[in-house]
Amino acid sequence: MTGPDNRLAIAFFFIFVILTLAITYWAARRTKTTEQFFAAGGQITAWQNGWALAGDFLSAAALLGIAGIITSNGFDGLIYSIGWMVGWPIMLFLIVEPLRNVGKYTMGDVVAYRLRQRWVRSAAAVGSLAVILFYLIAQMVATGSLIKLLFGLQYPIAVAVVGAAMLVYVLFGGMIATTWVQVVKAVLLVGGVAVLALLTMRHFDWSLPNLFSAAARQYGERVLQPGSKVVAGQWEAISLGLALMFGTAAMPHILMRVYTVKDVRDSRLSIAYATGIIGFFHLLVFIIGFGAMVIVGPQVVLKAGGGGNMAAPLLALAVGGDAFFGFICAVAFATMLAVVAGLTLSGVATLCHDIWANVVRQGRASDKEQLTVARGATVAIAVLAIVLGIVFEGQNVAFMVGLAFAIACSANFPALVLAIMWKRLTTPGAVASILVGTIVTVLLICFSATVQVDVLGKSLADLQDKWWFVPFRNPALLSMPLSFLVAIGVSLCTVETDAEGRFEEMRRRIMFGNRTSAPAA
Amino acid sequence: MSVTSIESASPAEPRSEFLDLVQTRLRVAALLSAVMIVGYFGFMALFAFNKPLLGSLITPYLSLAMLLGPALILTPVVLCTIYVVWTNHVYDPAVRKLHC
Repeated sequence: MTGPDNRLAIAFFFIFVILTLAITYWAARRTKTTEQFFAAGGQITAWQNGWALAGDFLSAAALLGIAGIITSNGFDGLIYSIGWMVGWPIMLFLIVEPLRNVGKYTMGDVVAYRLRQRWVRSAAAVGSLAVILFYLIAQMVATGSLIKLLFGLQYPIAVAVVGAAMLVYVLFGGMIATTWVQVVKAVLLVGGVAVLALLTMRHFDWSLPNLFSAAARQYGERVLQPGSKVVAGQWEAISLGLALMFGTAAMPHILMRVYTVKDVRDSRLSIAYATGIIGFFHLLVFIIGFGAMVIVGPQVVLKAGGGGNMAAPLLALAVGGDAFFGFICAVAFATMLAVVAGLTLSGVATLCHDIWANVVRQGRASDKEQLTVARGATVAIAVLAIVLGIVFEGQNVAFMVGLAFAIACSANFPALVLAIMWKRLTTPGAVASILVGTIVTVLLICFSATVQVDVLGKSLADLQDKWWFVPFRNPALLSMPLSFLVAIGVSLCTVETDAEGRFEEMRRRIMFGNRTSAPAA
Repeated sequence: MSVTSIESASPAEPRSEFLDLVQTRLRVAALLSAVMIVGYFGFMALFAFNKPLLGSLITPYLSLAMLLGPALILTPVVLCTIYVVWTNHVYDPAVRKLHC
């Protein structure tokens, strides 16, 4: 991309960075305890937290990726938009109440509540860290290549800039700074997308039928109909749906946000706000995708490089000129920055709160010690993210996002739901379920066409020749039921009277929270 | 004094009310989740196994898919709103009443 002026984009981006660093400076003086570091001291309002949740969840893929898929394939891009919406109510109905009232900072708190702490926390940490790591690598690599595309910056420099900025936010400002970075980013992202959709609709006399009919006239009715290029295979589609729905409901960096508000009422409310904001956003991206198809054209988008990712920025250039193009590019950059910051913070919470404070030190670590460990873990994760981001340069890592959702749905979701709902769950059952869910998901992806064909370059025919069974690209359909079965099977073979005895107590706590002075049952 | 007299008068009463409330919330949560799961996987089943039906045109420029897709994006918003209104107006007051 040499046409549009990149200097404006870079200027907008620097304004964002300076603003967020100022926020971090302000937040750093309010981050003195672990409670503040991991949960912003519960001081965030539901409305702010709703925007922050949207900021955490909406990655660059939600705008650039989906708009690109719609531009080249039409309707099918919506499959991802829908998938990223439907997990939110499941999370709200089944998980938020127990998570907030029983836990402190992580989902490990809830799974381990009735069970033997060290085993379950370690296993839960493995599941969470696997999700975070794969998601983080995918984000870093996407960030590096997109910034190269949008700003013309060198790949390693782009990755280092993003890693360094996220390190500063999390290290000094903890959850308070991260929350405000998310809020600012989400407002800019949704605002920018809304303006882009409005400018697009102006070209079609403010009428959706005009937009869709223009698309259908130019590229045929197929763009309005479901196709099989985006998701090939029937059971693949169902399997992808499972991972998107139940994976979203068990994403560690999202779940962590239920603790940043003052009580469970605000936790619920913030999830509801987030759902509304994200839904609004996806409807706008739908318009933008079709707008880019008609106004810019799929061929032009494809020629711009980045595998279709330039659809939305090029539409911005066409309908809003250089300045708006720069703004949208800068917003995309800010989006990536905010998402990796949120992921890093949830990884730090798992390492510090689950592994260090509860497994290694078994609750004897002082607040000051925990904060030191948290800061060390932040540096470690940031360095790891930068190194892995550079190592995987040019690799096809898009599948790692799918892998992260598949692990969340197969390792985290079953253990979390059974811990809450099923009295008979035992420590071996929970541990086995989490480990089997994680390992089987990773193995299935490794043996699937996603890695064997797309990454390693083998031919599919060769693969099918060698093995009678080539796993799905989306393993959730196998790994999620397997994880549930393992949890139930192992639990039924073992007895843990303690855990059953504490079920009643947990149910009280789910309802009353830890203010419980209710009469003992 | 009054607390002990209430407790000794009906020790089973608050406990069963508690269990009722647990059951009620689980039923509401399960019902709303079922609506979402059936709606979503119903749609995904059509997408996977009956693309022609999903692609049928209702009006010249509107396919069934283009109608159901955005509807499915809005469904979670509606369901979450229903749940939050229910918890704020029915569940939370009941919990507070039970807790005192």
